[in-house]
Amino acid sequence: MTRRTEFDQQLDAMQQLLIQMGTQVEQAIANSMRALQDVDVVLAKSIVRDDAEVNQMEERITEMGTMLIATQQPVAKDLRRILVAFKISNDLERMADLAVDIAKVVLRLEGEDLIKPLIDLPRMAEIVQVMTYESIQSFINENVDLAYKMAKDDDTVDALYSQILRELFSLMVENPKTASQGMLLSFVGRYIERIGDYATNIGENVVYLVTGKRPDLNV
Amino acid sequence: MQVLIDIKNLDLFYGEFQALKKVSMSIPEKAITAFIGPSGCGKSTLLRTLNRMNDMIPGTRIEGSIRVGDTDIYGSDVDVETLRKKVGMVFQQPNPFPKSIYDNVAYGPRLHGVTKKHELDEIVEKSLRSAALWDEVKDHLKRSALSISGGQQQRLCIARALAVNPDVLLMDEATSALDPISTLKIEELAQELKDRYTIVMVTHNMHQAARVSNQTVFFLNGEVIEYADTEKLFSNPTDQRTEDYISGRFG
Repeated sequence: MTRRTEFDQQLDAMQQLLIQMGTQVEQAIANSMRALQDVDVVLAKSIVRDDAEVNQMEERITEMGTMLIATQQPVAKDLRRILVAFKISNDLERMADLAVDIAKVVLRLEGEDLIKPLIDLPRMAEIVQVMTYESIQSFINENVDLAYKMAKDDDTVDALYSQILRELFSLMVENPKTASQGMLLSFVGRYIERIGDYATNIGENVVYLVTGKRPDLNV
Repeated sequence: MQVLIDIKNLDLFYGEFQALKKVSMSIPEKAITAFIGPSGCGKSTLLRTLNRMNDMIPGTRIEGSIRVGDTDIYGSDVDVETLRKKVGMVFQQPNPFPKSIYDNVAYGPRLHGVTKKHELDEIVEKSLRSAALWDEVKDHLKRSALSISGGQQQRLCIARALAVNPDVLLMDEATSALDPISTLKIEELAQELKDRYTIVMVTHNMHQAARVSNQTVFFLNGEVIEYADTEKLFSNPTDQRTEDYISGRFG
Protein backbone atom coordinates (compact mmCIF):
# COMPACT_ATOMS: atom_id res chain seq x y z
CA MET A 1 0.00 0.00 0.00
CA THR A 2 1.25 3.46 -0.85
CA ARG A 3 1.49 5.69 2.18
CA ARG A 4 0.73 9.36 2.01
CA THR A 5 3.78 10.13 4.11
CA GLU A 6 3.15 13.76 4.99
CA PHE A 7 -0.57 13.24 5.56
CA ASP A 8 -0.07 10.06 7.59
CA GLN A 9 2.55 11.73 9.76
CA GLN A 10 0.24 14.62 10.51
CA LEU A 11 -2.65 12.26 11.26
CA ASP A 12 -0.37 10.33 13.61
CA ALA A 13 0.73 13.55 15.32
CA MET A 14 -2.90 14.53 15.85
CA GLN A 15 -3.68 11.10 17.24
CA GLN A 16 -0.70 11.26 19.60
CA LEU A 17 -1.85 14.61 20.92
CA LEU A 18 -5.31 13.18 21.49
CA ILE A 19 -3.84 10.26 23.44
CA GLN A 20 -1.75 12.68 25.50
CA MET A 21 -4.86 14.75 26.17
CA GLY A 22 -6.76 11.62 27.20
CA THR A 23 -4.03 10.63 29.65
CA GLN A 24 -4.01 14.10 31.19
CA VAL A 25 -7.81 14.14 31.58
CA GLU A 26 -7.75 10.69 33.14
CA GLN A 27 -5.19 11.99 35.64
CA ALA A 28 -7.30 15.08 36.39
CA ILE A 29 -10.32 12.90 37.17
CA ALA A 30 -8.25 10.62 39.46
CA ASN A 31 -6.74 13.62 41.24
CA SER A 32 -10.09 15.33 41.70
CA MET A 33 -11.43 12.30 43.53
CA ARG A 34 -8.32 12.02 45.67
CA ALA A 35 -8.55 15.72 46.49
CA LEU A 36 -12.18 15.25 47.53
CA GLN A 37 -11.50 12.27 49.76
CA ASP A 38 -8.63 14.05 51.53
CA VAL A 39 -10.15 17.54 51.19
CA ASP A 40 -6.77 18.41 49.68
CA VAL A 41 -6.99 22.06 48.64
CA VAL A 42 -3.49 22.19 47.15
CA LEU A 43 -4.20 19.29 44.83
CA ALA A 44 -7.58 20.82 43.94
CA LYS A 45 -5.90 24.10 42.98
CA SER A 46 -3.43 22.29 40.74
CA ILE A 47 -6.35 20.63 38.90
CA VAL A 48 -7.92 24.02 38.25
CA ARG A 49 -4.59 25.43 37.07
CA ASP A 50 -3.73 22.52 34.75
CA ASP A 51 -7.05 22.72 32.95
CA ALA A 52 -5.69 25.48 30.70
CA GLU A 53 -3.32 22.93 29.14
CA VAL A 54 -6.19 20.62 28.27
CA ASN A 55 -8.04 23.52 26.66
CA GLN A 56 -4.97 24.32 24.58
CA MET A 57 -4.67 20.72 23.46
CA GLU A 58 -8.26 20.77 22.26
CA GLU A 59 -7.59 23.95 20.28
CA ARG A 60 -4.44 22.46 18.81
CA ILE A 61 -6.30 19.31 17.71
CA THR A 62 -8.97 21.46 16.06
CA GLU A 63 -6.29 23.45 14.24
CA MET A 64 -4.44 20.33 13.07
CA GLY A 65 -7.62 18.67 11.83
CA THR A 66 -8.83 21.82 10.08
CA MET A 67 -5.48 22.16 8.32
CA LEU A 68 -5.59 18.52 7.19
CA ILE A 69 -9.11 18.92 5.81
CA ALA A 70 -8.16 22.14 4.02
CA THR A 71 -4.95 20.85 2.50
CA GLN A 72 -5.34 17.10 2.07
CA GLN A 73 -9.01 16.61 1.18
CA PRO A 74 -9.38 13.45 3.25
CA VAL A 75 -12.24 11.06 2.47
CA ALA A 76 -13.82 7.97 4.02
CA LYS A 77 -11.99 6.70 7.11
CA ASP A 78 -9.31 9.40 6.98
CA LEU A 79 -12.06 12.01 7.15
CA ARG A 80 -13.88 10.14 9.91
CA ARG A 81 -10.64 9.95 11.87
CA ILE A 82 -10.38 13.74 11.86
CA LEU A 83 -14.07 14.34 12.59
CA VAL A 84 -13.89 11.87 15.45
CA ALA A 85 -10.73 13.57 16.80
CA PHE A 86 -12.69 16.85 16.92
CA LYS A 87 -15.51 15.23 18.87
CA ILE A 88 -13.33 13.22 21.22
CA SER A 89 -11.14 16.21 22.05
CA ASN A 90 -14.31 18.18 22.74
CA ASP A 91 -15.61 15.42 25.02
CA LEU A 92 -12.26 15.19 26.82
CA GLU A 93 -12.22 18.94 27.34
CA ARG A 94 -15.68 18.75 28.92
CA MET A 95 -14.54 15.84 31.12
CA ALA A 96 -11.61 17.93 32.33
CA ASP A 97 -14.00 20.80 33.08
CA LEU A 98 -16.03 18.43 35.25
CA ALA A 99 -12.86 17.40 37.11
CA VAL A 100 -12.33 21.13 37.70
CA ASP A 101 -15.90 21.40 39.00
CA ILE A 102 -15.13 18.63 41.50
CA ALA A 103 -11.91 20.43 42.48
CA LYS A 104 -13.92 23.61 43.08
CA VAL A 105 -16.21 21.68 45.41
CA VAL A 106 -13.07 20.65 47.33
CA LEU A 107 -12.08 24.34 47.60
CA ARG A 108 -15.50 25.13 49.10
CA LEU A 109 -15.12 22.27 51.60
CA GLU A 110 -11.83 23.62 52.90
CA GLY A 111 -11.59 23.13 56.69
CA GLU A 112 -14.78 21.05 56.89
CA ASP A 113 -15.09 17.44 57.97
CA LEU A 114 -16.97 15.24 55.55
CA ILE A 115 -20.57 14.51 56.64
CA LYS A 116 -20.08 10.84 55.82
CA PRO A 117 -17.30 8.52 54.76
CA LEU A 118 -17.13 8.55 50.97
CA ILE A 119 -17.71 5.05 49.63
CA ASP A 120 -19.92 5.11 46.58
CA LEU A 121 -18.54 8.34 45.11
CA PRO A 122 -14.98 6.91 44.90
CA ARG A 123 -16.44 3.67 43.49
CA MET A 124 -18.23 5.68 40.82
CA ALA A 125 -15.10 7.68 40.16
CA GLU A 126 -13.03 4.54 39.85
CA ILE A 127 -15.37 3.08 37.22
CA VAL A 128 -15.41 6.36 35.36
CA GLN A 129 -11.62 6.54 35.38
CA VAL A 130 -11.44 3.05 33.91
CA MET A 131 -14.03 4.12 31.32
CA THR A 132 -11.94 7.16 30.44
CA TYR A 133 -8.86 4.99 30.03
CA GLU A 134 -10.83 2.46 27.98
CA SER A 135 -12.36 5.15 25.81
CA ILE A 136 -8.87 6.25 24.78
CA GLN A 137 -7.75 2.64 24.34
CA SER A 138 -10.80 1.86 22.22
CA PHE A 139 -9.85 4.82 20.02
CA ILE A 140 -6.19 3.86 19.73
CA ASN A 141 -6.93 0.22 18.94
CA GLU A 142 -10.19 0.90 17.12
CA ASN A 143 -11.75 -1.59 19.50
CA VAL A 144 -15.52 -1.55 19.05
CA ASP A 145 -16.10 -4.24 21.71
CA LEU A 146 -14.48 -2.04 24.33
CA ALA A 147 -16.75 0.83 23.26
CA TYR A 148 -19.79 -1.38 23.88
CA LYS A 149 -18.41 -2.56 27.22
CA MET A 150 -18.15 1.07 28.35
CA ALA A 151 -21.85 1.56 27.64
CA LYS A 152 -22.56 -1.24 30.15
CA ASP A 153 -20.21 0.29 32.74
CA ASP A 154 -22.06 3.54 32.32
CA ASP A 155 -25.26 1.82 33.45
CA THR A 156 -23.48 0.83 36.68
CA VAL A 157 -22.36 4.44 37.14
CA ASP A 158 -25.92 5.67 36.65
CA ALA A 159 -27.21 3.16 39.23
CA LEU A 160 -24.58 4.23 41.77
CA TYR A 161 -25.50 7.86 41.18
CA SER A 162 -29.16 7.19 42.00
CA GLN A 163 -28.10 5.35 45.14
CA ILE A 164 -25.85 8.24 46.25
CA LEU A 165 -28.66 10.73 45.73
CA ARG A 166 -31.06 8.64 47.82
CA GLU A 167 -28.49 8.30 50.58
CA LEU A 168 -27.59 12.00 50.66
CA PHE A 169 -31.24 12.97 50.56
CA SER A 170 -32.04 10.86 53.67
CA LEU A 171 -29.02 12.31 55.42
CA MET A 172 -30.12 15.88 54.68
CA VAL A 173 -33.68 15.15 55.80
CA GLU A 174 -32.41 13.62 59.06
CA ASN A 175 -30.00 16.44 59.76
CA PRO A 176 -30.62 19.69 57.88
CA LYS A 177 -27.20 20.99 58.95
CA THR A 178 -25.68 18.57 56.40
CA ALA A 179 -27.69 20.18 53.58
CA SER A 180 -24.96 22.51 52.33
CA GLN A 181 -22.31 19.79 52.04
CA GLY A 182 -24.92 17.24 51.00
CA MET A 183 -25.80 19.41 48.02
CA LEU A 184 -22.14 19.76 47.05
CA LEU A 185 -21.59 16.01 47.25
CA SER A 186 -24.71 15.43 45.11
CA PHE A 187 -23.19 17.78 42.56
CA VAL A 188 -20.00 15.73 42.61
CA GLY A 189 -22.09 12.63 41.92
CA ARG A 190 -23.67 14.44 39.02
CA TYR A 191 -20.27 15.54 37.67
CA ILE A 192 -18.92 12.00 37.78
CA GLU A 193 -22.04 10.68 36.12
CA ARG A 194 -21.57 13.23 33.32
CA ILE A 195 -17.94 12.19 32.88
CA GLY A 196 -19.20 8.63 32.34
CA ASP A 197 -21.58 9.91 29.66
CA TYR A 198 -18.73 11.67 27.85
CA ALA A 199 -16.61 8.52 27.97
CA THR A 200 -19.56 6.67 26.42
CA ASN A 201 -19.74 9.38 23.74
CA ILE A 202 -16.12 8.66 22.91
CA GLY A 203 -17.04 4.99 22.56
CA GLU A 204 -19.82 5.96 20.16
CA ASN A 205 -17.36 7.94 18.10
CA VAL A 206 -15.00 4.97 17.96
CA VAL A 207 -17.84 2.81 16.63
CA TYR A 208 -18.50 5.50 14.01
CA LEU A 209 -14.82 5.67 13.11
CA VAL A 210 -14.58 1.93 12.59
CA THR A 211 -17.96 1.16 11.02
CA GLY A 212 -19.11 4.48 9.57
CA LYS A 213 -22.38 4.03 11.46
CA ARG A 214 -23.59 5.99 14.48
CA PRO A 215 -24.85 3.91 17.39
CA ASP A 216 -26.54 5.41 20.46
CA LEU A 217 -24.77 3.98 23.47
CA ASN A 218 -26.03 6.65 25.88
CA VAL A 219 -29.47 5.18 26.45
CA MET B 1 -34.71 6.16 -10.58
CA GLN B 2 -35.35 4.81 -14.04
CA VAL B 3 -32.52 2.84 -15.64
CA LEU B 4 -31.41 4.16 -19.03
CA ILE B 5 -28.24 2.19 -19.70
CA ASP B 6 -28.16 -1.47 -18.82
CA ILE B 7 -24.85 -3.29 -19.14
CA LYS B 8 -24.77 -7.05 -18.72
CA ASN B 9 -21.76 -9.38 -18.47
CA LEU B 10 -19.63 -7.22 -20.70
CA ASP B 11 -16.23 -8.57 -21.72
CA LEU B 12 -14.04 -6.50 -23.98
CA PHE B 13 -10.81 -7.64 -25.57
CA TYR B 14 -8.18 -5.62 -27.38
CA GLY B 15 -6.66 -8.56 -29.26
CA GLU B 16 -5.53 -10.95 -26.53
CA PHE B 17 -5.78 -8.38 -23.76
CA GLN B 18 -9.00 -8.39 -21.78
CA ALA B 19 -9.77 -4.79 -20.86
CA LEU B 20 -13.20 -5.37 -19.31
CA LYS B 21 -14.23 -8.42 -17.32
CA LYS B 22 -17.87 -9.35 -16.80
CA VAL B 23 -18.98 -5.79 -16.22
CA SER B 24 -22.63 -5.42 -15.26
CA MET B 25 -24.33 -2.24 -14.14
CA SER B 26 -27.48 -0.21 -14.47
CA ILE B 27 -26.98 3.50 -15.05
CA PRO B 28 -29.95 5.64 -14.06
CA GLU B 29 -31.35 8.31 -16.36
CA LYS B 30 -31.14 12.02 -15.63
CA ALA B 31 -28.30 11.66 -13.16
CA ILE B 32 -24.53 11.89 -13.24
CA THR B 33 -22.59 8.66 -12.98
CA ALA B 34 -18.83 8.91 -12.54
CA PHE B 35 -16.26 6.23 -13.40
CA ILE B 36 -13.09 6.35 -11.34
CA GLY B 37 -10.02 4.15 -11.04
CA PRO B 38 -6.30 4.09 -11.78
CA SER B 39 -4.95 4.37 -15.33
CA GLY B 40 -5.65 1.29 -17.38
CA CYS B 41 -8.51 0.09 -15.17
CA GLY B 42 -11.01 0.08 -18.05
CA LYS B 43 -13.11 3.12 -17.17
CA SER B 44 -12.52 4.96 -20.46
CA THR B 45 -12.89 1.73 -22.38
CA LEU B 46 -16.32 1.17 -20.86
CA LEU B 47 -17.34 4.78 -21.55
CA ARG B 48 -16.34 4.32 -25.19
CA THR B 49 -18.42 1.18 -25.55
CA LEU B 50 -21.51 3.26 -24.78
CA ASN B 51 -21.41 4.98 -28.19
CA ARG B 52 -19.29 2.31 -29.87
CA MET B 53 -16.18 4.44 -30.18
CA ASN B 54 -14.16 1.26 -29.64
CA ASP B 55 -15.43 -0.05 -32.98
CA MET B 56 -12.71 2.03 -34.58
CA ILE B 57 -9.93 0.19 -32.74
CA PRO B 58 -8.83 -2.86 -34.74
CA GLY B 59 -8.91 -6.17 -32.89
CA THR B 60 -11.61 -5.09 -30.44
CA ARG B 61 -14.00 -7.85 -29.50
CA ILE B 62 -17.03 -7.53 -27.27
CA GLU B 63 -19.19 -10.09 -25.49
CA GLY B 64 -22.23 -9.38 -23.35
CA SER B 65 -24.83 -6.70 -23.94
CA ILE B 66 -25.44 -3.00 -23.55
CA ARG B 67 -28.90 -1.54 -23.81
CA VAL B 68 -29.54 2.17 -24.05
CA GLY B 69 -33.26 2.61 -23.52
CA ASP B 70 -34.89 -0.08 -25.63
CA THR B 71 -31.97 -0.50 -27.99
CA ASP B 72 -29.35 -3.23 -27.85
CA ILE B 73 -26.58 -0.96 -29.13
CA TYR B 74 -24.44 -3.83 -30.38
CA GLY B 75 -27.42 -5.32 -32.24
CA SER B 76 -26.95 -5.93 -35.94
CA ASP B 77 -29.66 -3.45 -36.93
CA VAL B 78 -28.15 -0.52 -35.06
CA ASP B 79 -27.00 2.47 -37.07
CA VAL B 80 -23.89 3.77 -35.33
CA GLU B 81 -24.41 7.35 -36.52
CA THR B 82 -27.89 7.40 -35.00
CA LEU B 83 -26.51 5.89 -31.80
CA ARG B 84 -23.86 8.61 -31.55
CA LYS B 85 -26.56 11.23 -32.05
CA LYS B 86 -28.38 9.80 -29.03
CA VAL B 87 -25.18 9.25 -27.06
CA GLY B 88 -22.99 12.34 -27.45
CA MET B 89 -19.43 12.61 -26.28
CA VAL B 90 -17.04 15.26 -25.03
CA PHE B 91 -13.33 14.52 -24.94
CA GLN B 92 -10.34 15.45 -22.82
CA GLN B 93 -9.01 18.03 -25.26
CA PRO B 94 -11.59 20.45 -26.60
CA ASN B 95 -11.88 19.56 -30.28
CA PRO B 96 -13.92 22.22 -32.06
CA PHE B 97 -13.94 22.10 -35.86
CA PRO B 98 -11.90 24.82 -37.55
CA LYS B 99 -15.11 26.61 -38.39
CA SER B 100 -17.16 29.40 -36.88
CA ILE B 101 -18.79 29.01 -33.48
CA TYR B 102 -22.16 28.93 -35.21
CA ASP B 103 -21.13 26.28 -37.73
CA ASN B 104 -19.70 24.08 -35.02
CA VAL B 105 -23.06 23.90 -33.27
CA ALA B 106 -25.05 23.72 -36.51
CA TYR B 107 -22.84 20.94 -37.86
CA GLY B 108 -24.75 18.03 -36.36
CA PRO B 109 -28.28 19.29 -37.10
CA ARG B 110 -27.23 20.01 -40.72
CA LEU B 111 -25.83 16.51 -41.01
CA HIS B 112 -29.15 15.17 -39.84
CA GLY B 113 -31.08 17.21 -42.40
CA VAL B 114 -31.97 20.54 -40.81
CA THR B 115 -31.47 23.22 -43.47
CA LYS B 116 -33.81 26.11 -42.64
CA LYS B 117 -31.86 29.05 -41.24
CA HIS B 118 -34.40 30.02 -38.58
CA GLU B 119 -34.49 26.45 -37.30
CA LEU B 120 -30.71 26.30 -37.18
CA ASP B 121 -30.58 29.71 -35.45
CA GLU B 122 -32.96 28.42 -32.83
CA ILE B 123 -30.99 25.21 -32.26
CA VAL B 124 -27.67 27.10 -32.06
CA GLU B 125 -29.00 29.57 -29.50
CA LYS B 126 -30.71 26.90 -27.43
CA SER B 127 -27.64 24.66 -27.41
CA LEU B 128 -25.26 27.48 -26.56
CA ARG B 129 -27.59 28.59 -23.78
CA SER B 130 -27.75 25.04 -22.44
CA ALA B 131 -23.96 24.92 -22.47
CA ALA B 132 -23.82 28.24 -20.56
CA LEU B 133 -21.85 29.84 -23.40
CA TRP B 134 -24.46 31.97 -25.19
CA ASP B 135 -23.88 35.18 -23.26
CA GLU B 136 -20.15 35.02 -23.91
CA VAL B 137 -20.32 34.38 -27.67
CA LYS B 138 -23.67 35.68 -28.92
CA ASP B 139 -22.10 38.80 -30.44
CA HIS B 140 -19.48 36.96 -32.46
CA LEU B 141 -21.00 33.70 -33.62
CA LYS B 142 -19.17 34.00 -36.90
CA ARG B 143 -15.79 34.10 -35.21
CA SER B 144 -13.58 31.03 -35.47
CA ALA B 145 -14.20 28.48 -32.73
CA LEU B 146 -10.43 28.23 -32.34
CA SER B 147 -10.22 31.85 -31.19
CA ILE B 148 -12.06 31.33 -27.89
CA SER B 149 -10.48 30.06 -24.66
CA GLY B 150 -10.00 26.37 -23.86
CA GLY B 151 -12.82 26.41 -21.31
CA GLN B 152 -15.14 28.09 -23.81
CA GLN B 153 -14.10 25.61 -26.50
CA GLN B 154 -15.02 22.74 -24.21
CA ARG B 155 -18.45 24.26 -23.53
CA LEU B 156 -18.78 24.74 -27.29
CA CYS B 157 -18.12 21.02 -27.74
CA ILE B 158 -20.85 20.33 -25.18
CA ALA B 159 -23.20 22.68 -27.09
CA ARG B 160 -22.31 20.83 -30.30
CA ALA B 161 -23.19 17.52 -28.66
CA LEU B 162 -26.46 18.94 -27.29
CA ALA B 163 -27.48 20.35 -30.69
CA VAL B 164 -28.52 16.92 -31.97
CA ASN B 165 -30.70 16.39 -28.92
CA PRO B 166 -29.00 13.41 -27.29
CA ASP B 167 -30.28 11.36 -24.35
CA VAL B 168 -26.83 10.68 -22.97
CA LEU B 169 -23.74 12.82 -22.67
CA LEU B 170 -20.44 11.03 -22.18
CA MET B 171 -17.61 13.09 -20.71
CA ASP B 172 -14.18 11.54 -21.01
CA GLU B 173 -11.88 13.51 -18.70
CA ALA B 174 -13.65 16.56 -20.04
CA THR B 175 -12.04 19.01 -17.63
CA SER B 176 -8.54 17.60 -17.24
CA ALA B 177 -7.08 20.06 -19.77
CA LEU B 178 -8.84 23.06 -18.22
CA ASP B 179 -7.94 25.59 -15.55
CA PRO B 180 -9.82 25.45 -12.20
CA ILE B 181 -12.31 28.21 -13.08
CA SER B 182 -13.23 26.60 -16.41
CA THR B 183 -13.40 23.24 -14.65
CA LEU B 184 -15.85 24.64 -12.12
CA LYS B 185 -18.01 26.06 -14.93
CA ILE B 186 -18.18 22.68 -16.65
CA GLU B 187 -19.02 21.01 -13.32
CA GLU B 188 -21.83 23.51 -12.69
CA LEU B 189 -23.01 22.99 -16.23
CA ALA B 190 -23.11 19.23 -15.70
CA GLN B 191 -25.28 19.80 -12.62
CA GLU B 192 -27.74 21.84 -14.68
CA LEU B 193 -27.74 19.40 -17.58
CA LYS B 194 -28.49 16.34 -15.50
CA ASP B 195 -32.12 17.40 -15.17
CA ARG B 196 -32.48 16.82 -18.90
CA TYR B 197 -29.71 14.42 -19.84
CA THR B 198 -28.07 11.30 -18.52
CA ILE B 199 -24.42 12.07 -17.94
CA VAL B 200 -21.64 9.52 -17.62
CA MET B 201 -18.21 10.88 -16.86
CA VAL B 202 -14.74 9.46 -16.55
CA THR B 203 -12.51 11.44 -14.26
CA HIS B 204 -9.08 11.12 -12.74
CA ASN B 205 -10.05 13.76 -10.25
CA MET B 206 -11.72 11.88 -7.43
CA HIS B 207 -12.88 15.05 -5.78
CA GLN B 208 -14.62 16.00 -8.99
CA ALA B 209 -16.48 12.70 -8.89
CA ALA B 210 -17.33 13.39 -5.25
CA ARG B 211 -18.49 16.95 -5.98
CA VAL B 212 -20.47 16.34 -9.11
CA SER B 213 -21.82 12.83 -9.46
CA ASN B 214 -24.81 11.01 -8.02
CA GLN B 215 -23.34 7.54 -8.48
CA THR B 216 -19.73 6.49 -8.60
CA VAL B 217 -18.23 3.33 -10.01
CA PHE B 218 -14.73 2.26 -9.00
CA PHE B 219 -12.86 0.11 -11.51
CA LEU B 220 -9.73 -1.94 -11.08
CA ASN B 221 -8.06 -4.17 -13.68
CA GLY B 222 -11.12 -4.20 -15.91
CA GLU B 223 -13.54 -5.09 -13.14
CA VAL B 224 -16.16 -3.13 -11.27
CA ILE B 225 -15.04 -3.20 -7.65
CA GLU B 226 -17.75 -1.00 -6.21
CA TYR B 227 -20.77 0.85 -7.56
CA ALA B 228 -22.62 3.00 -5.04
CA ASP B 229 -24.22 6.33 -4.36
CA THR B 230 -21.39 8.84 -4.44
CA GLU B 231 -22.08 9.93 -0.89
CA LYS B 232 -21.74 6.36 0.34
CA LEU B 233 -18.71 5.50 -1.77
CA PHE B 234 -16.71 8.49 -0.56
CA SER B 235 -17.79 8.38 3.07
CA ASN B 236 -17.94 4.70 3.83
CA PRO B 237 -16.98 2.42 0.95
CA THR B 238 -17.66 -1.29 1.30
CA ASP B 239 -14.52 -2.63 -0.36
CA GLN B 240 -11.09 -2.03 1.17
CA ARG B 241 -9.63 -1.50 -2.33
CA THR B 242 -12.04 1.36 -2.89
CA GLU B 243 -11.07 2.87 0.46
CA ASP B 244 -7.36 2.58 -0.39
CA TYR B 245 -7.85 4.18 -3.78
CA ILE B 246 -10.03 7.11 -2.76
CA SER B 247 -7.85 7.91 0.24
CA GLY B 248 -4.75 7.98 -1.95
CA ARG B 249 -3.14 4.86 -0.55
CA PHE B 250 -3.09 2.84 -3.69
CA GLY B 251 -1.10 2.40 -6.85
